[in-house]
Amino acid sequence: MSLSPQSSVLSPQSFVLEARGITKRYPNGVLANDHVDFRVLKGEIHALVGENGAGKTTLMKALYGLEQPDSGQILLDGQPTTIPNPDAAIRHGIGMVHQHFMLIPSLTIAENIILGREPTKRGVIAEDDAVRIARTLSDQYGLHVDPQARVDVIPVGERQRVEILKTLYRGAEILILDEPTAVLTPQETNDLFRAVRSLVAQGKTVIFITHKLREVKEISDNVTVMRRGKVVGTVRTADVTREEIARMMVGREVLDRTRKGAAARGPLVLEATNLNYVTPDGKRALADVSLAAYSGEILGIAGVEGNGQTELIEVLAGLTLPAAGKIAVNGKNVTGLGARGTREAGVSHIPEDRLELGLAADASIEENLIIDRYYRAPYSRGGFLNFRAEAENARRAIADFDVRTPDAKMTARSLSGGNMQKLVVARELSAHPNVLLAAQPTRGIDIGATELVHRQLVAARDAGTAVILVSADLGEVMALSDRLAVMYNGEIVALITDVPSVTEEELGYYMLGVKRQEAVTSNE
Amino acid sequence: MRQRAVLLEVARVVMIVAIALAISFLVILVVSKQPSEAFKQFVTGAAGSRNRVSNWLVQATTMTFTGLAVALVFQARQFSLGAEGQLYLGALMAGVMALHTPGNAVIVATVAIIVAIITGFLFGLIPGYLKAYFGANEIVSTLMLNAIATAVYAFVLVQFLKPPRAGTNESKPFAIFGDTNRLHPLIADTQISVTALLAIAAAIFVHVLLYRTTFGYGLRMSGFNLRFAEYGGVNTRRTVMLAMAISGGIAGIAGAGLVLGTFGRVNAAPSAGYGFDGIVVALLARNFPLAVIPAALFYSYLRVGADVMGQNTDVPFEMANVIQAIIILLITAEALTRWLRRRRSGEDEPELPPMSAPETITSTATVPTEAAG
Ligand SMILES: Nc1ncnc2c1ncn2[C@@H]1O[C@H](COP(=O)(O)OP(=O)(O)OP(=O)(O)O)[C@@H](O)[C@H]1O
Ligand SMILES: [Mg+2]
Repeated sequence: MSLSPQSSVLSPQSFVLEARGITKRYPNGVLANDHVDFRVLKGEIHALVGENGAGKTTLMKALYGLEQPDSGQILLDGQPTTIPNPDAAIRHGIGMVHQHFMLIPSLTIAENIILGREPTKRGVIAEDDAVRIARTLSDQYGLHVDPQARVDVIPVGERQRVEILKTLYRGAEILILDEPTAVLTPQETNDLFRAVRSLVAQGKTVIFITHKLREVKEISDNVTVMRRGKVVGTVRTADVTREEIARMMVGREVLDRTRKGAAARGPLVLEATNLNYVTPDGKRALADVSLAAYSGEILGIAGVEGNGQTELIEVLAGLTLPAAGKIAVNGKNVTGLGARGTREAGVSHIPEDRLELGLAADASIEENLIIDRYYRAPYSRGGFLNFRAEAENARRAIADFDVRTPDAKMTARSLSGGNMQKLVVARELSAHPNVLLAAQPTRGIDIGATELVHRQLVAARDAGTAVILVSADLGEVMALSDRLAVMYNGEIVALITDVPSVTEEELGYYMLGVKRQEAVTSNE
Repeated sequence: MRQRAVLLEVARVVMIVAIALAISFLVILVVSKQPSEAFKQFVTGAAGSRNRVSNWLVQATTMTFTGLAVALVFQARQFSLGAEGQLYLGALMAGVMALHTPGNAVIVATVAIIVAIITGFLFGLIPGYLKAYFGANEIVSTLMLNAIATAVYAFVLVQFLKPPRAGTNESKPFAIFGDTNRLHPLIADTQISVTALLAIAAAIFVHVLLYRTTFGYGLRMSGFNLRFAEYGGVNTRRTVMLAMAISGGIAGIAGAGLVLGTFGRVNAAPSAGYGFDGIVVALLARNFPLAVIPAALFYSYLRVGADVMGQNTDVPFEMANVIQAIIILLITAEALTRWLRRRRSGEDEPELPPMSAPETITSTATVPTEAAG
């Protein structure tokens, strides 16, 4: 295998997109791109990988006109071009689907797709044309959506398809997908891949960012690896193994499998009985859910997203009041105590959506790290903040979880996506909880950091924490869980006590509601 | 690094103000037959005489209070417009105290100011409570409460405070304060009183409250991301409610300062829209309490200058309102574009509703926070 940059190039004129020597330093001093060379062939699927904060999103923003590089050149079809803003990028046929979505929730899918370029009849937006356009596009590329549905009620996989359709509607020939699979279930990922292949078959070019090397192998033709702002190399995907890509990314060997010893199950810590919850729009999200979590054990919760896992975690965290049911931590009833009371009982919570719940993007990193403890000593001294303790707390979290930032006084917004996630995980684990509710704890973080978080979850377990783990990544729940509950339609339909013996296929049956265990009691 | 951000923010504000002034000058050029005289009056008017300087600093004092009141609630991402009503009731209660409390002048003044604070606090608690526990929109409730406050003020004044058969709608002068009927001036022959010092103290108080206390931390986090604050265990309802109440207390002092220090009696209309000027001042100061003082000094200078120009030239008084409108427009437009840009780059919370005023405005609070953090 050759690791020299651009080892697998064909004839140069076939580069549809080429970046030469792109350098970008953010105003805060971070050198996010350092003389980056990046070339994409017409009609290929090009994967871009690298650790959190390696500069992938920054490079893509430069290509999409959202950030201006300090130096360097962008060539389209061999012609030097400047891309001052996203409109220019769109005019040049470059479209981007961002790490965090940007649809207008109160509009329909069709309206979102045409937004900004509305088809009009005598100056009036032609609603039926919009629906027709959406339907045509959707059929053409095999991206199935319901044009008349409102975006706020559709699942995340469909939202993503809408984002892609939107860029296609604007005439994108080159599509940049920034971590599209981070929020998808395996099934949705397969659907997305099918659509991406159909795009390429119709002559489009796709740049694809991911942290999952399995996906790189599965879908891409070439892969470019970045590390700390530089390109390590571009190789033909077929020429390298996952391990080799990982080594290029991290610069060392990465253990793919999480090793964990046997669980030493301790006493019962959290007990939830007959939890019921109906969402404001009338959906029965939790139907008589009972579960028990024990000290020293990881209880995994598997299920297709949207089957009540989100609501379960929010009810257990005290953020949502259940319609009925009871939650006890160490024998003490915590139902209705709210987030503060639940946290005081020793429950920590890694939420599934870091920007919605887990962070205040405009507050500093230090401030983000004390939200659960600011009112207690040593952070509070008689109602006044102790800045020294606050800084020390941040220093420890940043070191322990390898958060990449030059300055903890910067806003959380200036962190890369994966580093934001590490911030949340660091805060919640550093509380040394009795119970840790971990929802999608490794969403959007790189393999090295995933390994770190997995080790930390196991370490917390071994230190006596009862861990409840929800993940869309079946591989992750199966590898980490000591017991595994499967949720379907707001119910726990199966409880697997011998996790290594269960197959993904069998889990799949439970997850899709095809099969269920007779009497599910989670308290064995 | 953070100094740079602050400098950048200052530069932005200066630029906005410069553009607003340029536009104002253009308007003057169009409406006036004596534009150069009008410019001169506008720019130098406020410093023209002892009387005008007094007027300028008194307005600056009042706007500091209302600006602080607004900045505090804006930092909690609450778009409360209640400062005007709280000011009226603060003025009324301070006036009642000054008329009816026995004792020496210092004690009476102290009692009057404290009662004004309590009044404003309680009156701010109402929209805070409605918002926190019933989700009532604070823009609507505070505007309605403003109408109630001014009506109560007028009713009490006419029914109880106005001497029978008096020709004008005002109370007796505050005899307790001697010949001038006012608080003792800090500078001879002016109306600059101890309330100017109170305004500085209030700015320091709000700064410390926001950036040094755990309550202020919870308040700012609620402003940044309400769901995050709730998730972390902040009692956001109580925080929002108290923010609005404390804001009311500060606006109450503004009212007390006006009747005790400037008018020497409860008069028909103590405020010339100072509650709303507070919004402009808070916007100029980017909701940063210590920046409220220079912002208030600057803005009131313009107001007084515009008044002077209105008196001495053919340019109408409304010029001041035009400038105010231009500044508001430019600041909101700037905040809005920044917010949109951020949204486009995919870094904003996706659930933010577009074009909602509170969001737009609190996005400007970012840098001051960093500066103090
Ligand atoms: N707006 C910003 N202001 C300041 N620094 C930033 C900004 N955005 C990113 N950075 C910094 O630039 C570096 C590269 O960030 P970038 O978002 O490009 O990483 P990434 O490779 O996409 O990472 P991830 O996999 O975590 O999404 C990081 O160190 C980050 O902290
Ligand atoms: Mg990224």
